[in-house]
Amino acid sequence: MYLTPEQERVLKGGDGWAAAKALEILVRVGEALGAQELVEVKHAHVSGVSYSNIGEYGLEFVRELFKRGGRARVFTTINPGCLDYSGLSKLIDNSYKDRQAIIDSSLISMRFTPIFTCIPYYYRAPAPREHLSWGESSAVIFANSIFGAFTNREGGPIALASAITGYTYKAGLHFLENRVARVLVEIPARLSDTPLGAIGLFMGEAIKEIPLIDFRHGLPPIWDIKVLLASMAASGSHALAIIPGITPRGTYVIDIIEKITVERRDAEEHMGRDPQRDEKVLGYVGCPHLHLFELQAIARILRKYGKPRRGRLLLTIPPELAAKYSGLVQFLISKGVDVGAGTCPVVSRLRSRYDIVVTNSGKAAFYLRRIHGLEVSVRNLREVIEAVYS
Amino acid sequence: MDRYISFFGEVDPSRGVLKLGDRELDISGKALVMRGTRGSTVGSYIVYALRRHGKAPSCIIVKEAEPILIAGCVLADIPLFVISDYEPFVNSVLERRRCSVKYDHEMGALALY
Repeated sequence: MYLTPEQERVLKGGDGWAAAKALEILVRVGEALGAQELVEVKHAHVSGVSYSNIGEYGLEFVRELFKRGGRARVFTTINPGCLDYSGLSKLIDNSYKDRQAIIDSSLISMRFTPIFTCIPYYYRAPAPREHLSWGESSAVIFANSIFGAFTNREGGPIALASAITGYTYKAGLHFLENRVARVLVEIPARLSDTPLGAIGLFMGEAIKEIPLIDFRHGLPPIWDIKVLLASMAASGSHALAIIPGITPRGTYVIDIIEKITVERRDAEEHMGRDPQRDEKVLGYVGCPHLHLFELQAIARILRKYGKPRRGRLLLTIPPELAAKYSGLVQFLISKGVDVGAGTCPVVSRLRSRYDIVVTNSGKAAFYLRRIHGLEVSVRNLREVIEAVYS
Repeated sequence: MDRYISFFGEVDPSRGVLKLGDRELDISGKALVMRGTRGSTVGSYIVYALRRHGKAPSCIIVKEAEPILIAGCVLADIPLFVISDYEPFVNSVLERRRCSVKYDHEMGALALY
């Protein structure tokens, strides 16, 4: 791989052990993936920092990285951890909070920005064609598809290596010629009530190429598109979907060789069953994390309802939202909603057992079914709220 | 090991052993040969932990290398070899009761003894 004199200097230890090792990781992985050079990135988003995922060995590693000179060389953000940072949630299990705090303290000492959310694009909107190095598959697909940014799905240590060097390897979606939509996916008008989380799970499994998505009933709200993309990225390894009217031109190429029409039964395979009358239901919205407008929309819907009838509604949001809009959060809590900040049930654990989870998030369904063995239904937002409140 | 290993879950880095069902295999100081790795990104940190506990394999030899394994080996300073003729190599190893492996820098090849 070709390296600039500056990159050679860092590789030889000019900026300490951590940066040298990080650059070597990028070079070695890059070479294995056919990259011929590195590329500067404008923003690194680091995933794989939740103690419940990486445990003591991950904690030791992050500490070492800091102790041996690791420092952010580029704007760097952090994915959710395994604790509720607002202290308001009664559902999120906080028993690892001391261990998570040690990880967090190392990350913050390395000058990573502690947003603890999976929606980093709301903190710094990527520009079209901007090179990024992001972990967190739901954020990657959103950055590429909605903002036209250029990033691969970077696993654990790669985004971390990019954070402390400012580079990533130039391969995959960093090249326009690799951003080719080959499958036209039509979502017919008759599916306008079908949960996009379920459609996303189907698309992730069934489609192996970059899709161009044609919503025959018109573009859904951006929050629903966010859920669709996250679900595709969870059940398949999607990092880019072209949405005409949204994906910036000049950031993709179209070369359609196949057409697929999504049918209701395709989504139904992933929707799960309806909750039964006597079951304890966990309604879950917030995978990916909710934006302020979504939180306000949910609050508006809840004004019409009284207390939860069976189980609870859990919402997960960035900590900053909980801090800045405490009035809104208190209103939701007064309606019996549980609000978790800077975390989610996928990377943390719940304190209570539920018979069934009802969520709009295909991604949450995918992981909760697999990791926690939970029964999950994928439904629309209103149906999720009604499952708990009516 | 003629399979894909998941370092996270199948390796105990504090003791340097690979756990397979009931069996445990001591891998510290040995050349670890396997098809490749799979599983969570935490695997990189497990490989790193092997080095920190002084239990690292002398080298790792695979058919395919994926980023998690590469990252772990870089951090842990464990030489990682990806060999194109994996099957013949494995057969040669299995023919011997004991063998050691040596890397020839000039030839870019692994030699079996």
